Amino acid sequence: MTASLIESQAAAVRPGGYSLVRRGRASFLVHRRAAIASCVLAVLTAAVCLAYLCLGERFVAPAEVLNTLSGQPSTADFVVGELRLPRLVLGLMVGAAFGVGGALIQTVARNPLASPDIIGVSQGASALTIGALTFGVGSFSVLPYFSVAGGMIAAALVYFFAWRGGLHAARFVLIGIGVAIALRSVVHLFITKGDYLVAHQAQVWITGSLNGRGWDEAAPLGWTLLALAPCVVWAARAQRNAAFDDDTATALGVPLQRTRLGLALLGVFLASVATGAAGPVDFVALLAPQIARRLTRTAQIPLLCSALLGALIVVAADLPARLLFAPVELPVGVLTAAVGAPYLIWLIVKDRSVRGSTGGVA
Amino acid sequence: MTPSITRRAAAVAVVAALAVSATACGSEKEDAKSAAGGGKHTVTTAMGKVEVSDSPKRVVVLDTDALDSAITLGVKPVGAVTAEAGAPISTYLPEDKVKGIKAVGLIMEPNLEAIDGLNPDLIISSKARDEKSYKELSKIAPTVFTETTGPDWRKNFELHADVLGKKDEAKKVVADYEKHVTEVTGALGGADKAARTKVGFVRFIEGADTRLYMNDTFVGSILKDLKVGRPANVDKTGFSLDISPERISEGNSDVIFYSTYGDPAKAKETSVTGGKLWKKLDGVKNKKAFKVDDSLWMLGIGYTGAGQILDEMKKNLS
Amino acid sequence: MTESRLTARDLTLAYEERTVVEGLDLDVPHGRVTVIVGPNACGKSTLLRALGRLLKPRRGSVLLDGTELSRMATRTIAQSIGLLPQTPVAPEAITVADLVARGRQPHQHWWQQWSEEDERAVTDAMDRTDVTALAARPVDELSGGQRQRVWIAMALAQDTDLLLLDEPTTYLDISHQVEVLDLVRQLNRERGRTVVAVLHDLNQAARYADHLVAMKAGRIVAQGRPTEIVTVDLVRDVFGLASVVVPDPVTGGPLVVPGSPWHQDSSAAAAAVSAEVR
Repeated sequence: MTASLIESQAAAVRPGGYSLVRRGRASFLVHRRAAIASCVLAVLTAAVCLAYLCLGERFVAPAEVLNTLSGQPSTADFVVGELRLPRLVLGLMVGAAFGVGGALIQTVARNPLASPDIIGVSQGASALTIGALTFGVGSFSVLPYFSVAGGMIAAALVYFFAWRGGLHAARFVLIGIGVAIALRSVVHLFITKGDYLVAHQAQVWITGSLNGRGWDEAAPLGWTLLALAPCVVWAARAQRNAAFDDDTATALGVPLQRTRLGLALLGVFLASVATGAAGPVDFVALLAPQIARRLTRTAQIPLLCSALLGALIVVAADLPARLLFAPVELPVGVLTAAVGAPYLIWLIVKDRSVRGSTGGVA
Repeated sequence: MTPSITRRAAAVAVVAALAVSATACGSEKEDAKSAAGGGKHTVTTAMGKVEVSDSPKRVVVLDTDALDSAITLGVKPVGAVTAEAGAPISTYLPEDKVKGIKAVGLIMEPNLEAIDGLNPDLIISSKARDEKSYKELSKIAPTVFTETTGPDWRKNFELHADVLGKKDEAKKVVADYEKHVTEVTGALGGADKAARTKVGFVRFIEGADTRLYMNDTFVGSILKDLKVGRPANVDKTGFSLDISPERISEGNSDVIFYSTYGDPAKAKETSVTGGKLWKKLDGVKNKKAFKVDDSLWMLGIGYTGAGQILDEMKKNLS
Repeated sequence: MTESRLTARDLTLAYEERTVVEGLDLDVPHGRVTVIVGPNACGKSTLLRALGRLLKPRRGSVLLDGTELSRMATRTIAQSIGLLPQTPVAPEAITVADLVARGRQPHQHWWQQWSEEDERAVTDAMDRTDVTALAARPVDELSGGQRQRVWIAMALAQDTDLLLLDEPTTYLDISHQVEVLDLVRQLNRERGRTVVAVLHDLNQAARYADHLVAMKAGRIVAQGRPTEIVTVDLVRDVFGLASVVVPDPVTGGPLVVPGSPWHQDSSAAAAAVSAEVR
């Protein structure tokens, strides 16, 4: 302390790892690692996408794929344009939505375990969707609405049970896990009670699958995500401050309740919408944000990286899911679970040995 | 992340994609869709009117009843689905009749690319199975959906025969079946005796309640054809009466056929048939309880399957 | 008393059913160091939280320049009042420079993420608190003393006229306690910052406060210059402790020395010493 009084000249300090872009009064901080990671992930995803469109029952040369993509007539128009492309686009969107949704919920709950597939959001979406299937409410086009409603209801339930004049991160996660288990048994009840055809449909849906999905599923999801894009841009900045405890965040001038509610709603909505389009593709929402953060080493979860990683994980998992046992196509959720489950265990073990879950009382 | 980063990333991605594609080249010629000979006609399906060839050559069937219909009518499909990965196309149809049929994925989850690769000129399935893929399937070939499978199997067979261009053969199949039914009823001791014998069907299912099959099922409809009696609690319209193991007494009847879907222990077949309640059922006491092949009795929907079921009944009951 | 920007009027504070502070009035003297003391659970931290709008009054109001805090946007308040909670939680794996920079939050916009003013304030705050050398270190890895200095740096970077500190010396050893409190006083003397701190050590409070507020059971028992209000009676009244009050050999201010309760005639002795000192 005394030393600092003597040496008065100090070098300018800037948040570490950021590049500064100034134009007049406007100024932006760009996290270098995050920017590089995003570029690398984008390239990687593009490469996997190309492979995805080329490979399948019949190999389509990259040149032909590009012809189809650029709108020039090609003999591969149907296979690439009508079968592989919509499924790929849907996979990318579902992955990105899970990535961002997971990141936001983990941030709000201040716990890497608090991902929508662990705390009951996916299970809620599943329960209502399968309930709708079982009771014959739904033609396929309306099922996503049930998913969104189910995810929201589950989140509200968790919030209701976990709220004790504030949200404690650990309690939030534990109650979420409880709600998830309860809802999972509701799902099984519905499947058990349902007609055998419905049970089969439900069984396929519940694993999380892109099989047989087309533009009909991709288009509504695309419009929804596009409409949510401005919210995600807001969230990217707002979530920086949600990682503080309530008092500190408020002291920094963050309208905390509103911010957190907004982030949580957006996160739950994204995860539910994704679940509605492809079923609960497990572990993507858990994995993507945490890998993204380890890549970028930022204090908050980088949303763009998380979205890209989610998209990459889903597509990279769906490619072998399509090819491995052709003509039988595995549900993509089987592959993501195979990778995700060990990670979850590692996370829990690490969490217990290194430190208790961080979390303050509101 | 600033917008410029996103743009930069996108640009890099496109350049990378172009670079990869530039090194590769060549293209594949898609086989022309085999134009079926002869004319076309329009049929009414569960999804609306569809124009089909009068004599399709390359048929893909995505449900067991369509497969049964095709084989029964002497048409070998080019592609069919299986019940699970690695399973045979059919467990009950004659092996030589299904040999060479290419598997195109799982039932309810057909592999659209594999179907497209077969260049079919007709696809048959049902709305209940494949509604979500109808649009894509229709782009591959004229796609004919029945509403569902099971109780309406005779009506569905007529549609199958129509689109397969085998209406005349179908008449003979139906006539043969009716003759077969009369023969089995006779073997049971005639219509009067058959009517006094109450026959029930119990299905144990892994992961679900045990089902007592009612009249609106494939098995139920065959029992009706035979004019055998049915226990009152299942002699009604509807799919099934679902019961838990302790209610197995409700499955009481003079003759009991039962089958198991999945693992016998997990489906609770083992515990129920080993239990006291089971031994009190009339069919069990009379030694008239028969375990039958689940895949034939439940999925053998069609005239070939029905014929085999009739044979089994005749063997067990007369 | 000097003028006051931050005042509390008829303030009643409660957590659910439990009323902690009732009908309290307070004028925070401008440009001074105010220290609130009192026994555990007397409501001193609760009062500080209300002054920093972390707790909504059950009744009455806290006014900043005459406007009720509850009617102001929290961001606007953050431009005038900096606040360091008792146990702040940092985002996981955040670095020191990052954390201090977060103090600039209330002055930033999405299109103004790092102005020259931001840079100046953060550089200065880190320099003042002597954490510049730690800039790239993750906050998780710091010692308790270092961490506390980083948090104070963040509050300083916020560049507010008013600074509220809730027990800033908790978890610190004696030398770090003195370091932090010296820093607080320095900020007040050199930058004219108004500081309100809650301290549990009465002697530290007496040593560093320009204005001392003694609380008991949700009410202010006495307030004023430490030399005027810290007396044997006040200590007995507020803390229920027999003591002697002697001049601090370093500052000349009041120094409270607890009487020895295990000694039979301690109170008599204490009274004698106290009388002697007076």
